[in-house]
Amino acid sequence: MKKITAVLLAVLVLISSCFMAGFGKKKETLTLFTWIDMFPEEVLAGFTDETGIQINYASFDTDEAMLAKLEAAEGGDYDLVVADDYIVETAIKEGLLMKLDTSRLENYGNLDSQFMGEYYDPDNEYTVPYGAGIMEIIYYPEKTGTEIKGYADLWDASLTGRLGIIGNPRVIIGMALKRLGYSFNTTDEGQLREAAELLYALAPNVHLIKDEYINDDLISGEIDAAFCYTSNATIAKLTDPEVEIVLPAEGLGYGVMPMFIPSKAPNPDAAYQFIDYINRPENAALCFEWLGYYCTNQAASSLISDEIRDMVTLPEGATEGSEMIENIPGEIYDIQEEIWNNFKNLCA
Amino acid sequence: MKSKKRSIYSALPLYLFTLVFVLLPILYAGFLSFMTRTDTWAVEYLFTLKNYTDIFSGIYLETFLKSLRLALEVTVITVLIGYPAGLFIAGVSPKWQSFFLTAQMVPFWINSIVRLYSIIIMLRSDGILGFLHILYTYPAVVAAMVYAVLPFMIYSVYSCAVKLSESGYEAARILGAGKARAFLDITLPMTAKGLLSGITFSFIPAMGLFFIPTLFGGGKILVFGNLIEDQLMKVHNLPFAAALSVFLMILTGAIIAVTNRLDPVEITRRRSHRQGRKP
Repeated sequence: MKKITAVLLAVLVLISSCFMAGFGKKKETLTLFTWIDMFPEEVLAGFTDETGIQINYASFDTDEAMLAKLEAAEGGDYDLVVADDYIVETAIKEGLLMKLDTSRLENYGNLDSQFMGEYYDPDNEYTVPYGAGIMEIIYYPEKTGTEIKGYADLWDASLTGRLGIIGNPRVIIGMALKRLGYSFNTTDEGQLREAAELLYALAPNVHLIKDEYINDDLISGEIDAAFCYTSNATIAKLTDPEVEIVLPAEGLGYGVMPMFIPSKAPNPDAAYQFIDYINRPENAALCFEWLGYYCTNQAASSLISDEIRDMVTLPEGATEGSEMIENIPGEIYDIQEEIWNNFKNLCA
Repeated sequence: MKSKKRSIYSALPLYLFTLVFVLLPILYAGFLSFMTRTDTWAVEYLFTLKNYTDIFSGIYLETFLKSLRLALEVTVITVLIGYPAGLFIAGVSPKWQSFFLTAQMVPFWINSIVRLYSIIIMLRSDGILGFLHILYTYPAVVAAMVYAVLPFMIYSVYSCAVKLSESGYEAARILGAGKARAFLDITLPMTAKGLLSGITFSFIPAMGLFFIPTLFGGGKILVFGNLIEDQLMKVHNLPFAAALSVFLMILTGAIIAVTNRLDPVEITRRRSHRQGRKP
């Protein structure tokens, strides 16, 4: 008898939970599409508490995967996307983005204009920035015995076999181009070949080429210096304050993560609300403390905790001579690919 | 007749599975390899041979030869360690055999990436093997590759050797063959099938296991598998990635075909005949 009661109860619970789930679906949702861990939990929960809009967080691994899904959905399915600048340029060209009505964004004025109007969206018609990444040098001064100020110092013989770099051909070849005073985005083959020769001379110093967690190898002592992304630098500095972060003197290379609403987003209203919510200074501060990328919300800078502020806000005038890494024509990309493979072979 | 029919039906699920998950993707890769990449990294259905001619220019052929060298070195070391180990396990009592085989299996209960990462932690400067200073160098790649393929070699040799009776070897010894002679004429040819399949199972993964050079070679040591991964995940040139895969498939296919043709027992017999002795 007891058993039957238990079974009946279980069935009842199951049925009622189905009904509950059915009711739950009627709630408004925002489908967010970005990499994992792009927003702190408290900000996401805070948004739902305030607006009643549930967040459906869909994630992708690579920009290319994001574009493929957005193409397949013909600009539908997702309400708000955060990705890298170069892929957003392609998506805009393919007509997958909705034009923004900035008058609907109360906090639009909080955004930092030095990260806006970039090549992918020169008139700020489609996107707002959510974080900027700057390629930085991190190192242990007492291990290298020399002070590192810019790219040129990475060629120093004191770093033989002690340097780690990220595995991004555009960034690494760009570093050699910048050292020669050329643009990251040059389409001049002569300049590229010149940069290649300079880069090949760096090979004896390179011990490690790695995209993720290169900060671990600096901390564990595999390498003494690394040229890496902002996120790596931030984590390294937070792990060990002895680590020095250097903004290269020759000029910074950077990228922006734009946020956009796809052309056929199911719930653009919720997307507008979300953009506005995270751009309130106090929320933006929480986001950038969590994200560890450069803050693209000017009003939030002063609210970021002292421990992290220097790592995610730029000193006055630091963007002088800085340049974004933009899309380049296919044939130039092929040359870079060839230089990159030769370089890796020399490093081995 | 009847039983033959039944055997075909019983294998039908296998054939369907193979058709859908093995043959179709390969055919699709073959088809893609003759297509053109567009500037937006998409695929345009325009016939071209460029993907194949590109393989033979510059870096790709060089990388292929380097991979071949790495795979050969890995295979030789795997044979040197795995072959005697397999023979040894086949020679001990059944109780000890199951002990050794289980001991071989246990690490497989843990994901291979986790196991490889634990080796990295040991090899790091602050790890217990840090004094070797091999992390992110070529020897670390070889060691990790050997680690990954060694079980296949041991199993192949063991499963072949365990069926072998001692009597052949003993007869040779009684008839006056030295230990080396008896091993070379009896044990080696009789276990060579296992050895050869072990070689195949080590050599082919060693050509393609791209994540080991990535993890242990510090991103500087490229094998052919890395080129395919790069083209697929980073450059997003699907047709070229497909062409590289087809090229690798044809070459490994050729290597397997050659290995399969070797009949070790026959080779020994011929050699013995030439030397005027009965096998």
